[in-house]
Amino acid sequence: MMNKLNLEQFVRIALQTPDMKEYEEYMAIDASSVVIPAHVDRKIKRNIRRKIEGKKPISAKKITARILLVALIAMSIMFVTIMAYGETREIVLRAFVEWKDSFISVRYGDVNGGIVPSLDKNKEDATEKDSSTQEDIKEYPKTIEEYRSPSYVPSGIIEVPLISNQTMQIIEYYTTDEELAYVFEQQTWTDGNKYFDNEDAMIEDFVLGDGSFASFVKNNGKKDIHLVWNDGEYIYVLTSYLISKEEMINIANSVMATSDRGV
Amino acid sequence: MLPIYLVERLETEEDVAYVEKIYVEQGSKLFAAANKILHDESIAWGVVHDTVIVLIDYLEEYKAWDDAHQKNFLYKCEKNFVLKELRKRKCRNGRTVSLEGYEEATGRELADETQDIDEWFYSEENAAAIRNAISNMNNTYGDILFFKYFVNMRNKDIAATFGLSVASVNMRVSRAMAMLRKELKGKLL
Repeated sequence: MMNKLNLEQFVRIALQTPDMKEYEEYMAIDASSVVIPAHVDRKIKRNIRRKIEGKKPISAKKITARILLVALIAMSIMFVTIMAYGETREIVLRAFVEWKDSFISVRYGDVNGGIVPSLDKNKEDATEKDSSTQEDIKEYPKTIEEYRSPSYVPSGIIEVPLISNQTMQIIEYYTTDEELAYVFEQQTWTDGNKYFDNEDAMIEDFVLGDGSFASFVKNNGKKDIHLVWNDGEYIYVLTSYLISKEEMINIANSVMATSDRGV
Repeated sequence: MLPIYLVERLETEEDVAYVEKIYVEQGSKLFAAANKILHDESIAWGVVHDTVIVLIDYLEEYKAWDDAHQKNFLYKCEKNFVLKELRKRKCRNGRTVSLEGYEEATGRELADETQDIDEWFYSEENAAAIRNAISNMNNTYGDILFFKYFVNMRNKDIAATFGLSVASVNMRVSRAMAMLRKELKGKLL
């Protein structure tokens, strides 16, 4: 059965057949004398490209950025709305404080900006100290409050104090032939870092008798050996020119307050 | 299979080449037709340019049409841009276009005296009668029906494209349909 069509539907169907009168009129237009100026040609071609390029679908990156922007705005509005209510604000702040109390970690280190060598050299120790509380933070002496020196001096070695001030103490040890055998240094954390040439250097880590982490530093082709350690209060450097590593360890293990040695 | 970004790129390049080809082949003819009425080469090229832009907007539809419909589309678009330029000139000269002014000022529609013949059974004869009526109609109205019912442009798009108010387009569509009804009265089987 054939349905009736209204005028609009008929117009659609009628227009499916082209208007040949207009088509013929258009085809009869004489354009033989027309020369497209170069600048017009360039302009129209440029605009064609711009227009078609502009029709390209929006990239996924742009869509993502827009979604994120909308989400950000929505979250901001939600946050402001939530915080506008006194009770809600209090709950949020309390939750934040509880979270902070539960998870805050206090790093054990030099409050003056120094680095504790033992923390860097032993991760287990560092982790352990990371979980310590505010009370564990230790302030290192800014000046030498207690001069310390090796109580063990190998036979035939003469002790010659060289420098002794508020931040540093240096003692040289000579043989009876007045040859420099080794040098002992005690310095504060605030006295700056101790630098060693690490070119062709061999570094050997070990633990002293009191649990302090120490390092031997020896440069290839050089006679001197450095032993560096700290006891949590001061930094010590023992530089050997003649004595063996074993002797150096013995000397390091014997460091104690000079007053206790009766010096 | 080509990567999707390459396919997209190729499609775009193809479109550019396709439109540029139409412009190169039809640009001179469109210009000649526009310049014959406007007598201003600069404005006539502007009209050609505007026509190409509309072509780009309806490129996918355009590709699907046969040659005669494609030419009809370009020519009708161009004529409407020429009319737009003529309207501008008339406004600059302190005159208004009577039809536009009338429609917009009064908002009146032509009385539709043939509402009683609103539906017919389809027949090729009826379609041909409607086709002839549209073809013989003043371009101002016939073109509106073409853009609305063949190109499927919305009234507001027609208005935006050819610089008319939406009220004018609505009025012209309404008036064209009324004219059609009047013309077809007693002719449809």
